[in-house]
Amino acid sequence: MNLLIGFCVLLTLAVISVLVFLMRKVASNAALPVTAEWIEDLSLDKYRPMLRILDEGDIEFLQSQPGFTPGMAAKLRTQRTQIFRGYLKSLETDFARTCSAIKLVMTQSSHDRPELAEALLRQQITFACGMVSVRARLLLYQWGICRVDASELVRLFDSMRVELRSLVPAASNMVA
Amino acid sequence: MPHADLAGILQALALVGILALTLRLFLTGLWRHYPVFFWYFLFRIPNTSWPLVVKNGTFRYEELWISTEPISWIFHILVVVELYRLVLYKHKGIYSLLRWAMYSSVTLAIGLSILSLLPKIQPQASADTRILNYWFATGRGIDFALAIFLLFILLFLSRFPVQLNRNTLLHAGLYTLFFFGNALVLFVRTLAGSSSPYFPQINVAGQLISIAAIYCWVFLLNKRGEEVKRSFLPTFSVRHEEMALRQLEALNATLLRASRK
Repeated sequence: MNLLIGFCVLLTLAVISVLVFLMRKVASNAALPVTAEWIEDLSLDKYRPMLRILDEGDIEFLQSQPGFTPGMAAKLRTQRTQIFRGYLKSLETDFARTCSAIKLVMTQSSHDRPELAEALLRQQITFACGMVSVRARLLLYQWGICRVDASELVRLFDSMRVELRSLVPAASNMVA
Repeated sequence: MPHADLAGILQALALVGILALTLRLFLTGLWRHYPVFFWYFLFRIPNTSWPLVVKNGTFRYEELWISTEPISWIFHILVVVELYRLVLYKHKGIYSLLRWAMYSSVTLAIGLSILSLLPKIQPQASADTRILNYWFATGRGIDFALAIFLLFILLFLSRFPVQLNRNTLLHAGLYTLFFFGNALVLFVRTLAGSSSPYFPQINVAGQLISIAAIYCWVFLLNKRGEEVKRSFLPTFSVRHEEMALRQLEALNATLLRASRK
């Protein structure tokens, strides 16, 4: 019986903690760094180097050069992986902010947009799965086991970026 | 202090709180925003008064409790529906998303609630006790499902830049605690059984949770809590405003030229 009461007390404390956390989060939902400039500045150009930074062609070319050692190849892979991780982090942040901006526009809308809601959910899930896959492949890439392709992630980000611009026409007009 | 006296004091304290809350809702005009909530507490005035005059453990007490409890369950469901509709009404743009979140939450809540009902009702119990046990189980199931549903809806809303007013947020939090507390007390009571030495303490715990929620509503609900801060829309700089004005002027000029022809 004491064990049961102890369990109930712990469960109540856990529920209260979750509740306080969620209520604080809902209450602080207002602040979003979304400006027309930010939407306008969203660009794919930033991620173009990321798509070829892990290109095996560079390493294959260097390996064919005299004096190039496997140690140097490993060092190069590590350096490029670190840079790639930086890009990945930035892509993740931009994608999350783009999604937040779309959500903001949706919440302010007076009309229901089920197709947009569906697309948003699908893209978020696909992006999250893609991110896990790329991170796992990146680990293997460091040991030269497999290749990494982030083009799908960039494509997903691009589709969300286009969607956001179509939702905030003022920003797209300015770009045009 | 004997348990019967303590229970009586708590019951009287709950009645005072309910009267104060009903009066407050009426005087502040908040009853128009939360009509089901208001009617629920109006119903609770006689429903909290009769246990003060009818002796606990008598057939009459049992009969009254069995007949009034289903009304409480219906009100519990309706107040949550009211809260959900308040959130939905303010955010038509995410109507579909909220509806999907509701379907998933209801499915999960009912599933978890059924799991919580697994501790079996003793088949050898008398018919009266069996009805009481069924009533306890149903009440527990409904309250637990509602608490889980509210938690999931809050979780969903926390992922969206929605702005809820203070009263709605307070309602969601207090309802969750209220329903969860009720469900937990009923759960422990079912497991412990009425012959348990802890039975009076469990009943007191249930009363305390209910009283705490009532007084939180009394002191924290107010008219100002209905105000929502200004929405944070994408902001536009002076440069963008000038550009928009130039576009409008160009459009005007084109229209003027067209009208002269």
